[in-house]
Amino acid sequence: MTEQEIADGCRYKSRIAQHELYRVYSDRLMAICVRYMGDRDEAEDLLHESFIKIYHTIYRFDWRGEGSLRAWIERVTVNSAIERLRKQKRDIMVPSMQHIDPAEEQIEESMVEEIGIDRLYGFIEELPDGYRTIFNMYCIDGYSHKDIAQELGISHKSSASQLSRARATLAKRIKEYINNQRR
Amino acid sequence: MKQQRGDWSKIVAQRVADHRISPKGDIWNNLEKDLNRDILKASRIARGRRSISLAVAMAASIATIIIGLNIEIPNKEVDQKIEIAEVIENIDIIAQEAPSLIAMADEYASIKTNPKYELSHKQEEAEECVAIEVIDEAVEQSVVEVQREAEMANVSESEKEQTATVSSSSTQDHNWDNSGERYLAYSNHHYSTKERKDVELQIYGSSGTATLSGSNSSLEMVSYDMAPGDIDVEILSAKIGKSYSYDHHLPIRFGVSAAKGLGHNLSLGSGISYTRYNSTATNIVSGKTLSQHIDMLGVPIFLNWSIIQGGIVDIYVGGEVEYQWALDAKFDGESYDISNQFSSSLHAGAALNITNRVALYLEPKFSHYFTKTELPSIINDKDVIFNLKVGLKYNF
Repeated sequence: MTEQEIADGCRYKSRIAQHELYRVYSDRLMAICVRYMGDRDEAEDLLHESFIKIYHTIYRFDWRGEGSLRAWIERVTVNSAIERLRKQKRDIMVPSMQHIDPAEEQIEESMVEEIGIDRLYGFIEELPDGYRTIFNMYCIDGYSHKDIAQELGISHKSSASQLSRARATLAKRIKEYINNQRR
Repeated sequence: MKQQRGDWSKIVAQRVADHRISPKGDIWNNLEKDLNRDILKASRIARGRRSISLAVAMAASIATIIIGLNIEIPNKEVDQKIEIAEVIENIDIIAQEAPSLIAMADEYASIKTNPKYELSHKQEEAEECVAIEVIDEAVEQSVVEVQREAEMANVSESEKEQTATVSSSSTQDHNWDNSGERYLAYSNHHYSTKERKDVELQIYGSSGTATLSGSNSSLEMVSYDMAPGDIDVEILSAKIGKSYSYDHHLPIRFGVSAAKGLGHNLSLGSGISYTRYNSTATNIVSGKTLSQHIDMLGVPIFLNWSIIQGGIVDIYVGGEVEYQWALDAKFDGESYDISNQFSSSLHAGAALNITNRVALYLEPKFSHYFTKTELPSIINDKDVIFNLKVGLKYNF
């Protein structure tokens, strides 16, 4: 089934199309859920919730060419993750008066390429909720600080500062891992 | 919105973006269960299960198409009265003449039934017979006398011929004069008797055959509306004056109802309805038109069974009973107390689901009213009434 056929089928509540959508996109969406939730079980709950939302709101989706369905369902999943985090009232903001030196955020790009994807994923999962959320939104899913501030109900500066700390934390973890590997 | 970073995080984003993690196998099973549950829930809503359906019925109950001759039962009373009106088009003239004609009829009836009349009538007949006998006798006597004189005249043909002739003629003249007087007296008497009888016959003729029979005919035709023997013209006019032919307009009906699902595609509901029956009554004699309206407040109870549901269009059939209380009934501005009504109906409906909650429905309905109102309305006229109900349905 093509992406458009899947979308049309889901719009008419075809069980075959719904299963096809799950079969094609569940791995991708699961990865997003893990990235945001930092916990596999919770990620699976989020995945379930996201698919239900996708099936129920598929009538809002407008086909705009190949890839538009994937982009749409990924956006729905990210929004579901943010909504879930907000409802759980997790400490998105990690208070820290410690100033982050910009140098701490920097690592060699080769280190990132060298590290295995599962390990990289592991490091992201291990980030505190607030850091992980803003890092995912800003660095991976392309939100601006303005969007993040609006979505999470925080200030623009807070978002930027949380991102700096997230990047510094992640860079530190990658450096440590690579240095250990190189030894 | 997507922003490219010119640092190591860009590489992280690229690597992470296409990453896939397989969820556990039972997620789809759980999803499927939830989807089935949702469909079930949606279908329950559609069929009224676990939901209360509020039918905001802006029911412009555009009634009344009469279906077929079999179910059309004319108003016999009105038809009869119209027939009367057609027969007695000149009812006013007849009514004016009727008193004199009836008086004449009464007079004739009293004369005819009076024993004295019969006695005098028989006496007249007897007198007539006696007179005829007297005439016969006189004629015979005259003939005998003429013959006798003729014989006496034969004795002397020459001398007595003239004498006999003169005598005979004078005798004859005398005799004839006598008999003529008697005959004239009888004739006069007989004529006067006959003249009186002719007048009576004329009375018979005018009141008994021509006019009275016509009047009787009219009276007989309206007699169903009157007490036996009551032929008072004023009462008759008053009775006829209360006869109207009706033109019933389309009833207007509004209502609100709620239904609850019972399972097995069944739903039971009730509500409240308001119906106005408008009619125009035309006096069949004077042609004057008057307005009539009846306001009814009804409580229907209905049971629906869904045939098709869950799609864009739901199809259902059902039955309904309704009790209607008469709120107001006015004929020519005058209020009347009329009885309540009880009806049953069968219907089929189609609901177009505009949104998940709102549906537009169309419901053809056939109703039969077991009770009738005293003031004629469309339900009195027809045994089966066709209604077309249009409304909006809101599902909770």
